Amino acid sequence: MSEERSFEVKLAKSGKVLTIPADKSIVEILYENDIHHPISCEQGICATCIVKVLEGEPDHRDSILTNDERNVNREFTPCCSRAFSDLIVLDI
Amino acid sequence: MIVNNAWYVAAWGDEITENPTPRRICNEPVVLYRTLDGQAVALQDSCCHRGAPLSLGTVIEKGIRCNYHGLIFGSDGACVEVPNQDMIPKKARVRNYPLVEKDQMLWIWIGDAEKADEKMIPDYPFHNDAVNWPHIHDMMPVKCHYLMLVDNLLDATHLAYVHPESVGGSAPSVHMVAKNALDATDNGITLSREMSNAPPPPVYNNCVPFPGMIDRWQEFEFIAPSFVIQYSGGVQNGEDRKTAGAPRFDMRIWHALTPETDTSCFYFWSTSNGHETDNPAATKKIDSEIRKALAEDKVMVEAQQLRINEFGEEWLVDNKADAPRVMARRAVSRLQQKQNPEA
Repeated sequence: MSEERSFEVKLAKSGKVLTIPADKSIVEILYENDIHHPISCEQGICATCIVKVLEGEPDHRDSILTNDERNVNREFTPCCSRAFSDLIVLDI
Repeated sequence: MIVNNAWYVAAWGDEITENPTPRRICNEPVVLYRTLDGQAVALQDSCCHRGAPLSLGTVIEKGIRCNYHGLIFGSDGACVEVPNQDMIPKKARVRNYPLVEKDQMLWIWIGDAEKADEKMIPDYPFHNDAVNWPHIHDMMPVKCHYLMLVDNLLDATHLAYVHPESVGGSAPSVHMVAKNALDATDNGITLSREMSNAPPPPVYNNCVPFPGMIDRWQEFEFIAPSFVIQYSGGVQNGEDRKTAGAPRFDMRIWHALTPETDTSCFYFWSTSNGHETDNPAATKKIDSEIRKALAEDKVMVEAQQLRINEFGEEWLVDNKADAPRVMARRAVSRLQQKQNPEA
């Protein structure tokens, strides 16, 4: 696996922008900012954390979303997935 | 979650005779029977006169007769005779459920009858192919939510723990390191596993003695809401699965889970023998071996259901092996949304 990169997440509901460093997941940074997004398995299996991607290019790391869910519904698991674009906007 | 607008197996065709059979399906009491000319019928199991179960009734030429006060109902559920009364009220009818006989099973539709499309019934032609895939079928009531058995079927990591003496029979590591392919389909998932150079599990060895290690395969197709079509087998390690002769093991299993209530279901299964097709004893042997494994699962899932009744499911934490079952459940949710868009 190639080295992880840092990117930014914008939370659409509050407008807040958070930087996700290479060594942390989106939900870890959410928790550090007291945003308690529901999680369970933390590896893209259980579907608990699914959110919509409003903008940006997601780098899906889950094991359960179908192509339609990814491409049409723009669903995303922030527990393990990341972004190819420098900014990704999530419906949180 | 029970999807009402879907086909379920109500019974094996050969289970249902002129003697009415009561069966609760998707929480609704249903009576199943055959008319004197052999047509299978499913009606609400309650007479519209005083509510008595029609399953205590008798099938006669005119229809099914309630054995409380003698009202008779035709196959469409309409009352055709009220003893000692000329007038039959228009309201005098019981619900009729769409019922289709296909691949030796009776398929019922509990939800909105106008949505019942026969083309949605999965195909399983092996039941009709006694030459190439002789089979044995049966039904077992299980006290768990029907999707818990789907979970169980799509999860291979329990094999080594629940079934060490039957279909498991390998070290847990064999099941954990199997090569897996998991894909979503329009209406479910496909899952295949290959285990090379694995010890044959007791079931395989009891049916077909293998001299050494084998290459095993398991292919599953899940079709929402509740069907799992399985093809499993093994050949000697290093042999070509497509061409290898004896010793080889070839087995198809049909699994259909029909909700009875929110915490109980009917498990309709069949085992087909593809390696010794002209030997009825071999077909019977597979059946008796798989029956053992299903009994092992039943013990675990019924005990699991009792705990889930107590503690709920919200707090449970999925692990890596849960991906197929989570995908399957998401396919069931998609079907539910498609079939009940207003809900």
